[in-house]
Amino acid sequence: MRTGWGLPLYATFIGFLLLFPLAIVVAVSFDPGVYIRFPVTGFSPRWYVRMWADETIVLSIVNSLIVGFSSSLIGAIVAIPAALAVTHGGRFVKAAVYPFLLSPFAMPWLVYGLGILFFWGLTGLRLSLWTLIVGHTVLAIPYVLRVTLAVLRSMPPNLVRAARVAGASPWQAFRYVTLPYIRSGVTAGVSFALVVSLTNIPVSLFLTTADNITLPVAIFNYMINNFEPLVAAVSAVQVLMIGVIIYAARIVGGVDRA
Amino acid sequence: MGAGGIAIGRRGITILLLPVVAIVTAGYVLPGLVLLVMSFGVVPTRPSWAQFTLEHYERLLGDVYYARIIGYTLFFGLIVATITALIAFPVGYYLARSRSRLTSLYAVVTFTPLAVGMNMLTLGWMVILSRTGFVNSLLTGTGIVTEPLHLLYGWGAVIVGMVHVTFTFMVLPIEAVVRQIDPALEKAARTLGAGPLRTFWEVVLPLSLQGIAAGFLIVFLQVCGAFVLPLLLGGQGFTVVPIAIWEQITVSSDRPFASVLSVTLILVSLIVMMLQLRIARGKDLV
Repeated sequence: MRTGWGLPLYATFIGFLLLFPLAIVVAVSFDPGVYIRFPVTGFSPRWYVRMWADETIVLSIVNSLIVGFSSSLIGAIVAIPAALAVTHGGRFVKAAVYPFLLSPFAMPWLVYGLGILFFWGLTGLRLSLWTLIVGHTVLAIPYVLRVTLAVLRSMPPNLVRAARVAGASPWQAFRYVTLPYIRSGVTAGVSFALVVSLTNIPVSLFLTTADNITLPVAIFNYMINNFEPLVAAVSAVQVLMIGVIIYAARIVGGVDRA
Repeated sequence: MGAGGIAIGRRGITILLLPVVAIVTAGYVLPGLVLLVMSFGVVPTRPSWAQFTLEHYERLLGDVYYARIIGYTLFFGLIVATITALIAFPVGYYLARSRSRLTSLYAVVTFTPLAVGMNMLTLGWMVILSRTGFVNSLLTGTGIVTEPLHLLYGWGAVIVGMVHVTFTFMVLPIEAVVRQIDPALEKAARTLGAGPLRTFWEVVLPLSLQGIAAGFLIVFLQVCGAFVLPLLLGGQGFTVVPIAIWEQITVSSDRPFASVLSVTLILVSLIVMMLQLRIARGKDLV
């Protein structure tokens, strides 16, 4: 169907608007001045150098990577068996357990963080990186589960059957047939969960102290208090990290067939 | 027999589900229950029936200030979802119908609001809208205005920012639903003499309502629960339920009342989720 020029032009304009705020943050991050303004007053990597001298920011980057990788991997380790169970399970699993496992997606993040804060207070456990890892794992589960389930549904049943007939144990059939088949889907889900963890502020906000602060929470604290180009530089580095992760996931996951 | 090709017994299913159910219960169900218990004034460390009270709920229902905040939050969700739907529909339609190679690049662009993080988007709009920001330097530089305009802080800035944040959630279901509409239907309408506008109103729109509704509900949910962007772009005086919860914790240290507000927000989410399930009816549109 011919769509003419209007629609592509409009879509391009909206696409430009979606990217513009990001471009402008990158632009002001190179401003040598002490507060963010436009047009920028010069070009200097000053704030990119300064941020590595800031202990909170360096610590928060390390913490964020620990929490992000741990929670998305634990999420995958528990969500892949769950996806198998949902494909093979009965009505109860499909109609009750599956929606239950997806429901964290609908929970307002700030409320969820508050609940975890109160709950950990009850158990007497100190807030630590583990608090964040558990919280972010629950966030990761729906992403990995959905993608894995979609790939499993598209998998021809005869693949596993053939492996079993040829003498493979259920574990071998999973390890050498199912797992390679779902690899790209799982990698996509894990990388998305990782991005969610690396960018999440509301869940982590009540759960972070000086020791277990994450990168986006550190940026948020800076944003509340001042308007230095430093926050722009740190945000740009955060986006760069996310870009590298998404790119690496595409390589690890292979060419997507989904 | 499922897609995996082998039957797994009931015991096997239980074992496969055990770890995930344990984590979701400990990390999400129990914290939710603690919020619920605390909203009734019960101290969870040493609970007793004597502590049970509805006074915190009475405070919520009796105070016009909080009724207004809840009203603002719902209105905020409706208005952002409506604007996002209007802006995103043509884009979703274009992505579904265009055969241009650029659409794969465009798919990456539509995905960016989800991938870059709330701090990046909020900061971007702060730089665009602030007194020393992009729009004001453009307007004062060209002499259109002499004094910088107050663009940041308030409804306008927050709505613009939230439309950006939620754009992806709207465009994806719309694109998915338009893909399912047979282009021959539109051709038929046109051949029978309907103009482009009438074809849109009487063919395309009715057939895409399911996708629009799915996107609308997700966006509504996201907006009602949004915290960082409304706090930073709304400024003082812009209060929605998540901001009120944050203030109850950081300023007033009123945990029972923060719990009441949280339970209210969860109720809104549950209602929206129920609507979502009814609309989706098993179809995965997102």
